[in-house]
Amino acid sequence: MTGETGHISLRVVTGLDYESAGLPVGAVAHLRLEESMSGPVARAVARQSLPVPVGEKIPPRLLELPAGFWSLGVEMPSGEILQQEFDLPAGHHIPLDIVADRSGHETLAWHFMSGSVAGSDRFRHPLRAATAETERKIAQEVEETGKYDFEVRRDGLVARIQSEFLDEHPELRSVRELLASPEFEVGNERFDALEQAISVLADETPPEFARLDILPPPPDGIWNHLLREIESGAAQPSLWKAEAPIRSLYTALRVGAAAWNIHMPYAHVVAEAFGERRLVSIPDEWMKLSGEPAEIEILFRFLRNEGNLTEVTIKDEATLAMLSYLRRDRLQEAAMFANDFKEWLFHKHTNPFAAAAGGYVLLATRLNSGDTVWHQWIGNLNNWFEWLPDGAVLEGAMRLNGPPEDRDLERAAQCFREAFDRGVPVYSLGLAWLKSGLDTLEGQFGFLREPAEVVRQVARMVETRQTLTTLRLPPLQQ
Amino acid sequence: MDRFLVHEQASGHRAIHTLVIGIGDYPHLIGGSGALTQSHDGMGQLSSPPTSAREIADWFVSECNHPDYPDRTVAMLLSEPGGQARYTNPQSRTHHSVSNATYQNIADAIVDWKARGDAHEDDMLALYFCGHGVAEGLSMVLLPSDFGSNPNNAYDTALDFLALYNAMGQAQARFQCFFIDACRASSDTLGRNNGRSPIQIGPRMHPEPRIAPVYYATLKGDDAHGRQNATSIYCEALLGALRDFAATDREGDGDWRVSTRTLSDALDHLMERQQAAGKVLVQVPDSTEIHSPFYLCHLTHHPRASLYVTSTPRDRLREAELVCRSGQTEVGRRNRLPEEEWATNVPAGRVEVEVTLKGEPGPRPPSSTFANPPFKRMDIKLQ
Repeated sequence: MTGETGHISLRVVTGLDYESAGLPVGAVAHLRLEESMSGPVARAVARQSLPVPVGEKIPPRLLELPAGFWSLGVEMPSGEILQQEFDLPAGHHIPLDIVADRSGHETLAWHFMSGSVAGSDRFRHPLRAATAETERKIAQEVEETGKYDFEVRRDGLVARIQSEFLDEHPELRSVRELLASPEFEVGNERFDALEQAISVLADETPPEFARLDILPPPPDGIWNHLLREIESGAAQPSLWKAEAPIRSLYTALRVGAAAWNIHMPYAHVVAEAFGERRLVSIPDEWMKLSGEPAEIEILFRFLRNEGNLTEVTIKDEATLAMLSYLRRDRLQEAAMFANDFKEWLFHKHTNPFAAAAGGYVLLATRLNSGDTVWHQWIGNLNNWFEWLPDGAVLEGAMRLNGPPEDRDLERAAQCFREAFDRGVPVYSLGLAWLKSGLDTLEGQFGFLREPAEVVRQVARMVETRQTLTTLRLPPLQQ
Repeated sequence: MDRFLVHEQASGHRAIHTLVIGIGDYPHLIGGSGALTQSHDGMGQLSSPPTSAREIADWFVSECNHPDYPDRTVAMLLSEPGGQARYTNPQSRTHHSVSNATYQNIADAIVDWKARGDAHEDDMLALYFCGHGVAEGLSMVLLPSDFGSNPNNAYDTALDFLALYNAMGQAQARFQCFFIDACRASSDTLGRNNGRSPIQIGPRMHPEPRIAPVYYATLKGDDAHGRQNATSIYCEALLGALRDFAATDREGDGDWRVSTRTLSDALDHLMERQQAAGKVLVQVPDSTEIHSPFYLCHLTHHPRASLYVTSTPRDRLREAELVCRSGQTEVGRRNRLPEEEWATNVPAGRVEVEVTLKGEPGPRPPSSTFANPPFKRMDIKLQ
């Protein structure tokens, strides 16, 4: 770098849990030189995007930059945007700890970081209006009538915090004060007050349970099982069950081999609560680069208006950010974290799931970039893990849409058929690509017609804003 | 000029070909003039789509500036009560009778639109649809005006958007952009029939990949909202983004451009802002396939950015007077209001904000910041 420069040490400071050292690459920073003090600066230096570490104990990233006045925007995996400006004189070193929002509850810090759980801060975020209109109406009603009738969830378990209820529970003073507050701007206090009220409500009403069942491999295959589900909402046998009473805004249950001690590459788990059912694909074991298995949790939401009933969070520092960006369809950001693709494929503690996620990101963003070294690895992922539908989907997509040297429609058709025969892809994106590939090629290859029809039917059940495939099952027939 | 075109500017250079569809009149839905279809699922007449479609067409005709794409075509289909719809081209002042947005007309217009896009691999295709839509899982169906005209199969006259999207991969035009201003709420009536596509899906034979972002008005499973005889919420946000808030000077050459990526960020921001202001119901936009950005247009003016001013301590801005300047020019002023935050739009670049607190005789020394689209938050320390 020519001209006068200075240094910054950059990281995002937020809490995960006591055991985690933080995310070495956890967020994307966008740097913009507003006023240069060192003459003309190349565009690639004056406007740059790069991954930065996230955590309280993680060492910051050291950067040499031209002296000047800089704007910094950091996009967190959750979608939160942090902004800061700094003046960097030549020869100076500026430590920049960007403080991010924290989860309202410490145990949910990973889920919050991945964007599965809204932070308590959303209640005072100037632009987080999803709840603002509701809160304004409640506040107005309270002010005018002195009556409370606050509905937390509209379907399933309806938690209504009414005046009479609060009269009977003097211990819920904080809830009463909360509702009486004309502006509802209480951050953590609001979060805690709602938790408290829901807990009391749960004590007074028949408890609502979050339930999990592992689906045993259906004798005639997962696709046929799903077609039966579409027709009849049929109950299924279970290899393993778990349930927990819902007494909180969020209820997290641990899943994967560590919880159920049954070894298969990945499982289809039926999650049920509030009369709703989802079928979720869960990796049996998600190995970190350290060789340790990552904890996997499935989270049930109490608040319906926050989105999906369930969310899966994998507590792996190396892949959390990539998977979160993948979930939000921010693949350009995800690509900054996907360079470990080869590592995940070849490491002694191989993680084919992480490799597949990296494969989706690379295929979506760099398929025609001229960098073809990883194309062979896609084939390896498909050939080495013959049970993984996503490997075959990835090779099929590469053969269908790749540059001329990779393009082979017959091979693509074989791959999509192979993917179908292996089962439902682990990733939502995989199911979408499988559908797209089958739709595109069924006209030329007759052996794809039946799979295409089946996948079209199942694809109607997909929740698209999920990283791992999640299907909305019909209610059980009584 | 082709029968659906309302604008054509051809000089043999690269072109942006736009198809704009706005449907407010649904004879077979609630309140319509025809027999009510059993598949109405609570859907009725809309007043916003024709207005929104005209506004979007106006933008493509007279405001969309792209030096690499000097040529333009704009095709239009409208359905609104009261007979044949009309459109006045804002550039030529020519009046056009606009065809009704039935399935067959939409299908024909799409085939023509794709054919225009086949003329040159570097052309750009844009589609704006405003009307009813239904979604379930990976399926998304757009409803033409004659939806429900077949009493035995209402979806016989419905457009399978995702099939169309995939089929458009075969077009020579590499750069495509889809704006879907429609509900994506689930419908029990969306059974095995997902509608049709006028173009058969098949593999892309062109060696270069297609880049085709889609901008939905809502997240999957949610409703989109219009306003009586006014542009839709999404349309207003889209125009704001295209005119100002999606602009970026990332290339560092002083040329502000709208990229398909910054458009997504700006849409998110502008729709959240409308909600925060209590103007609209909750509606969250959604974008897909935005990972290979290209430039949609270049601005011919200096853009604006949203500026949000708060203070630490937070309540100090209550009853304070605020003045914002860009250089020597006053670009915003807030009189003594009880709010703790001031949201305003300012010219992109360095701005200064001067605060006069309640009870103080004069302003504090100004604070400055760089406001770039789409928005900047500025927190002023006030003791």
